[in-house]
Amino acid sequence: MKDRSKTKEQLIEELQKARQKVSVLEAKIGLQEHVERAQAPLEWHPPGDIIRDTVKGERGKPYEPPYGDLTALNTSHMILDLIGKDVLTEIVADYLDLLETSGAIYEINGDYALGIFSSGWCRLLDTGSRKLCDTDDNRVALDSGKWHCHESCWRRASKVSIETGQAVDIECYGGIHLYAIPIWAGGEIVGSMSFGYGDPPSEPEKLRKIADRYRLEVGELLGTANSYKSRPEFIVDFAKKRLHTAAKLVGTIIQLKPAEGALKKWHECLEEKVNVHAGELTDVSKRLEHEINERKQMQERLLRQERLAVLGELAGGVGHELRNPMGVISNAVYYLKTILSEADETTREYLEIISSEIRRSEKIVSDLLNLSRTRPAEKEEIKLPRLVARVLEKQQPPPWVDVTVEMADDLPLVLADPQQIGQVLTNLLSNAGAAMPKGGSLDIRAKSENDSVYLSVSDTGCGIADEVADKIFEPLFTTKARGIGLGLTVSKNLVEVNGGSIEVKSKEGRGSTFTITLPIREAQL
Amino acid sequence: MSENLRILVVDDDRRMAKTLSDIFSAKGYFVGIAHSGAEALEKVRAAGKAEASQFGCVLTDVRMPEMNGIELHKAITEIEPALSVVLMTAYATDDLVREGLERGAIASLTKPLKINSLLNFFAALRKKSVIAIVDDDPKFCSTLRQILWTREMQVTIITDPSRVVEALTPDVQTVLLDMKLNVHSGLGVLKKIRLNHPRLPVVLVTGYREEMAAAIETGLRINAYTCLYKPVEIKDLLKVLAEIRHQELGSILGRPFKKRR
Repeated sequence: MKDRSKTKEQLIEELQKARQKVSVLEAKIGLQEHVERAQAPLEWHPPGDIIRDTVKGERGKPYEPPYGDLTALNTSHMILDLIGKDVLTEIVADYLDLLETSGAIYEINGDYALGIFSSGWCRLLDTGSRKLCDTDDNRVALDSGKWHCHESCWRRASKVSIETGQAVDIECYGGIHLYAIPIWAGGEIVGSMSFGYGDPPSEPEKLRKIADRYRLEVGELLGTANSYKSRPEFIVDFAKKRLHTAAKLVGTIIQLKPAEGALKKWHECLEEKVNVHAGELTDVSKRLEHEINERKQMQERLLRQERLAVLGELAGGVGHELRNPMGVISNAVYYLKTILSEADETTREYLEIISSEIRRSEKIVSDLLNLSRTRPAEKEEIKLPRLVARVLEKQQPPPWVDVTVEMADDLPLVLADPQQIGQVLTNLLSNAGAAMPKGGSLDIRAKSENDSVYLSVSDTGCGIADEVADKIFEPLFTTKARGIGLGLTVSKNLVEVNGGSIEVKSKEGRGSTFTITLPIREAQL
Repeated sequence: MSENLRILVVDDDRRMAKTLSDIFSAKGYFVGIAHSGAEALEKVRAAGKAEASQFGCVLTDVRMPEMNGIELHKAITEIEPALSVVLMTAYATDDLVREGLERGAIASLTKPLKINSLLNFFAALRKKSVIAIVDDDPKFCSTLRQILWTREMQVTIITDPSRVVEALTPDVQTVLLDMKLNVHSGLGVLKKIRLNHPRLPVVLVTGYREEMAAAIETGLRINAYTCLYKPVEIKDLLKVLAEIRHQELGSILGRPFKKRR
C-alpha cells in the first residue's frame, strides 16, 4: 500500500517535474533543430560561375537556345544598348549563380534585354513550350501565348511588376517560383528583371500536369527535376536581395547614361569649340607667322642697311685714305711718262701697266665711295644717244662681242645726272662684256613710254641663276672671281638718286637684260 | 696775266705737292709749293708785290690741318680776287667742296688727278680770252674793244654778219651778237653760228628790248647765253664775260657749262 501511500499532492508534484523535464527536452530539441538549421547554410556551397561559364563559354560551350537569341528582337534598345549584353550577363550571373535556374531582363515594352536558362529544368520546359508555338518566327512565338515559360516570366511576373511597381512572386507554369521586380531609373520604371527559384516539383500529380501542358514525357521531367540540387531558403533570400541590388545597379546605370550622353555631347561640343578655337589659333598663328616673316624681312633689310652703312663708312674711310697715295703714284707715273718719252718700249709698257692698274683701283675706290655716300644727283637734260655713245667710247666692249645700239627716234630728253647715269651704263657694259667671254651680242636699246624712258642693256652671256637673282643688287654679292660685288649695288643707288629704277630679267645660260627706267624731263610732259 | 703761268700747289701731303710740282715744272710752268694754308697765303701775298711774280692759279687740297682749302680760298679772294683757285680732294662728296665752288673756285678735282685736263686748263688759263663782237656799229665796237683790251681780253670785230662763220676763228671764246643788224637779222646770224659752233657761248646785245623780245626769246631757246640791253653797262658785260670764262675753264676740268637765264 506503499504506492497508494503517495498523496495526490505528491503525484501532482511528480507530474510537474516530468512536465519540466519534457519542456527542457523540448527546449533542447528546439535548440538542436535551430542549431541544425543554422548549420545547414554552412554545408551548402555555391556551385561556381555557372552563368559565366555557360554564357561566356570559358569552360564548355555556352548555352544557346535552339530557337536563337531573343534580344535580336529588341526594339527598345534602352537597357540592352545602354548597359550592353556583356555587362548585363555579369550582373545577372551575380545572383543566378546562386540559384542555377533562369533569369530574364525585360525592357519596359517586354522586349528581352537578356534571357538566361541555366538549369536543365528551365531549358527543357522553355524549349518545349517554344516548340508548342509551332513557328520559326520568334516574334510570332512570343505573341502566340503558347510559350509558357515566356508567358510566366513576362506576362505573369515581370509585366505585373512593371505595372504595379512591386516585386512579384509567383509559381510559374513550370512548377517553380518566379520572382520579378521592376527596374527603377530616376523615379521611372524602365523594365523588369526576374529569376526562377525553388525545386522542380517531384509530386507525380504535379509532374503529370506539367507534362500535359508542355507536352513532354513525365519520365524526362522527373529525371531533370531530380538532377536539380536543392537550394536552402536563405540562398534564395540572398539571391532576391542581390536581384534588388542588381536592379538598382541597372537602373542607376541607365539613369546615368543620359547624363553620360550629355557629357559626351558636351565633350563633342567642347571638342568642336576647341576645334574652332584651334582653327582661330591656326589663323592667328598664320598671321603671326606672316608678321614674324615680315618683321624678319624688315629686320633683314635693316640689318642689310646697317651692314651697308658700316661697310660704307669703312669703305669711305679706306677709299679716301687710298686716294691720296693713289694720287701720288698716278702723278709719279705721269711724271715718268713725261720725262721718259724716249724710253724703251718695255719701260713705257710698264708705265702704262701702272697707269691702267691705278685706273682700276680708282674704279674700285669710286664704287666704295659711291656706296658709302651716293652723291646727290646734279640733274641736267641728257640726250641718251649721246651719253651711250660717250660711254661706249670709254668702255669699249671686247672685240668678240657684237654691239647693237637702237635708240628710238622720238626719244625725249632725260633729266638726270649724266656722270652718274654714265657710270651705271659703264658698269652694265662692263658686266655684259664679262658675261660673254666667248663672244655674243650686246644690245643697247632705249625707248620712251608714258612718263618714262627705258634704257636696256642685253647680253647673250651666262645669265643669272634664279636662286641668286634677288641678290645681285646686294652689296658684296658677286659671281665673278674678281671684284668685290659693288657694281650693281652702286648702280642701283645711282639710278635711284636720279628718281629711276633698275631691274633685271635673266635666264641662266641665255643671257641677261638690265633695264634702267628714268623719268622724262617734266617740261616735256 | 703773265705769259708764263705761275702755279701754286698746296697740299699737306708733301709727295702729292712734289709730284704735281715736278710734272708742271716739266711742262714748263713755274711752280710754287706750300704745305699749309698759312704758308700758301704767305706765298700769294709775297708774290703779289710784283706783277711778274704773281700766281695765275692756286691748286689746293681741301682737307688740311689748321687752315683748310676753302678757308685758304676765302683768304686769297680777299687779297687777289682774280686769282683762279682749283680745289683737289680725296672725297667725292664733300660739303666743303660745295661751299668752295659756290664761293668761286673754278673746279674741284678728285684725286688721283687727271693731269691732262689740268694741263689743258692751265693752257687755257694762260691764254687771254678772245671775244668776237658782231655789230655793224663801228663806234660801239671800237669803244668796247678798248675797254676789253684793258681787261686782258682780245677782241675780234666782225662788222659783216654775212662773213660771221668764216670770221669766227677757233680761239674765239665768246661772241657778243647785236640783234639789230642793218641787213641781217641777229637771230639768223645766231642760227648760223649754232650750226657751226653748237657750244660757243653767244651773248645777245640789243637796244630794242620790246621790238626784239620774240627774237631774243627764240635766241635764248637755241642756246644763247644771255641778253644784254644797250646802253650796255660795262660792269654787267664784264661780269657776264668773267662768268663765261669761269665756266669755260671749269668745263675743261669737267664741270658742266650752265647757261644763264
